[in-house]
Amino acid sequence: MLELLDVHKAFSLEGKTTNILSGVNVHIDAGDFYAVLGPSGVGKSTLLSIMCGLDKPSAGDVRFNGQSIVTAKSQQLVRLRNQAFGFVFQSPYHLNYRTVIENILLPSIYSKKYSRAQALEKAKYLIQYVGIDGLENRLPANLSGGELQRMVFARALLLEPEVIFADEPTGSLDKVNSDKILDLLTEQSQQGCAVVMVTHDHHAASYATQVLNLYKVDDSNTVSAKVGERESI
Amino acid sequence: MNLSELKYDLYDTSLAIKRRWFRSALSSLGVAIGVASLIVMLSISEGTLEKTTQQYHHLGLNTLRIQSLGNDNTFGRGISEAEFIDIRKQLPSMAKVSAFIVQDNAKPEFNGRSTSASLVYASQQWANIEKLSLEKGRFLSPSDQVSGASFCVIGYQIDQSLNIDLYKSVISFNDYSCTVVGVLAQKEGAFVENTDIHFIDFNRVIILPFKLHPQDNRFTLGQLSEISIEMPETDADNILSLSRELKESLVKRYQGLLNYQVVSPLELLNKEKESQLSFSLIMMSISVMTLLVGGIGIMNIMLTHISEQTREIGLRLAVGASPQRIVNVFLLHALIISMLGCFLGGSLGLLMVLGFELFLDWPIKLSVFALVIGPLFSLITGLLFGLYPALRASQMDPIIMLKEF
Repeated sequence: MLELLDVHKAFSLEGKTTNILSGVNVHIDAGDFYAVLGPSGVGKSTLLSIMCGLDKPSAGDVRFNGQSIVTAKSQQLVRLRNQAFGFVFQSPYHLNYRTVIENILLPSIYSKKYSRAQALEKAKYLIQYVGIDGLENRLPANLSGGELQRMVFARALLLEPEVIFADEPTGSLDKVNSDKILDLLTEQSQQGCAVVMVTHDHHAASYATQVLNLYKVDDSNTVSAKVGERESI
Repeated sequence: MNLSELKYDLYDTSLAIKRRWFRSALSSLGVAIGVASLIVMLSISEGTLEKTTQQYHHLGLNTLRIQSLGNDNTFGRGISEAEFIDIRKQLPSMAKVSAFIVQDNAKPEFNGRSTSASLVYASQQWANIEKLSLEKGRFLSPSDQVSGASFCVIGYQIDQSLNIDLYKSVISFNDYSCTVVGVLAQKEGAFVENTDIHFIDFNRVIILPFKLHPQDNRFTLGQLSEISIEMPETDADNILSLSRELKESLVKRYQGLLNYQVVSPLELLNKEKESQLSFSLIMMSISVMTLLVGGIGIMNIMLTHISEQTREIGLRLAVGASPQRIVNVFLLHALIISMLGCFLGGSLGLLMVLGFELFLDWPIKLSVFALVIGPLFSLITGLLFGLYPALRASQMDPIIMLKEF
């Protein structure tokens, strides 16, 4: 489904080129739950951005269902992000002047996958699924951190994505709310959706079936990745 | 963009404006002032032109007037009979021609009442060319003209002052007397501001036969006040070319001496229109500059909005909004602000036009042109100054916008 083939990433800063990622190879299938681990600043979020097409690698390729997303046109990437990928950010970004249900419906505004009525029905179902029923007409300002993150999760699921990218989804949550989000991610992966979760929390990573461990190759801070089963953490 | 997308983006934009209504209202003020000034300035310009046009219409746009500049106090002399006859020969046969002599400061008396008047010794066609109509009685007949009979037609105000009986009353002035056979209907004087055209107050004239003038040898002394020529139709080219020909021949005749002026109301009106057009263009330029300043204000506020909404834009891009859609939203935002300014400015402009007309009695006419180009310019301003911020928003990097991602 999603393949990273010898992905390299380098940044240029003040005329100096710094290598971040060097030769990352990963193959993610439907139903896989990947935890991307590594110390802070190692390039976990950068790798996630490259996987979902928000960023481009300096070298190598990223393929989704056999098609390169590195060379894909802007419109194809927009469609991919809208319909095939779901996003859960560390901070639960939302439109603060739109109600909970309107926030959940946001991806459908940019999609023709569902009609307005179908999207609404799906959103109502997801509100119940993530456990924030009764809050659909509230503004996000009136929600707790955990409720907000669940709202964001519902938004990520609205168009039934094939891959969910989660960047430290439990980073700002207490244990109870963290577990709820992690349970939901597990449930999605069990239903056939691939999940890629960046985290440095080993408890969160324990929910994953696969681990993508980023480590420094040498003293130049260049990072490569090692894929392994959860038990290898 | 389809209708449902437009509806959603419009609602989104209205919410964004509502959240920052004060700032949005302030940013629309530049456009409002521009549109208001455009409406007021063009309305003043059009009103002034309309007033001037009406004045020239009173003079007759199909007429030409050769007016004498000679008088007792100058070295110049008026137009003589021989010259009048020569000029007449140059005119097309269809043209109506008349001449008259004016004497101001007459004191007509009747039944112990007296008033002030101008004596006009006019040839037969004069009343016709000046489009004079009668309140009562008749005009001087051709036989009155030939015989130099002591009949006269008086202006409306003189009748009001002297209270005459038609065909019976004999009014006297300057050692002469005449029987009143007609009274003119009330008429505005042929007076145009800022020109040298002689002013005749038709309500205070006493029209006498040409022959009745006290100096029988008047023509040889060159005392004609004016030769009036009326062309059969208002053919602008004919009138203007005739005016040019007359001026050229008179320059030759008088060897450059300024004894006369050839006045073509049509020519004057055209000049007036030209100067009004220049005035309007200057006024429009000022208003457009104001609109441009307003546009810069809108651009500034749009850039501020974008910097405040960075994460929101990043989120939209991340969940599938196309850059085009982001452009549409911010363009719509800029357009709504500028059209809001247009509405405010339009209302203010209309109120000001109404106020100037009611309270200051200015010659002002609501400019339909301004009402059309005001919104058009506002639309262009919104598009022009909204485009850069919108493009900038759409080309931002969602990763940087979301920072932590």
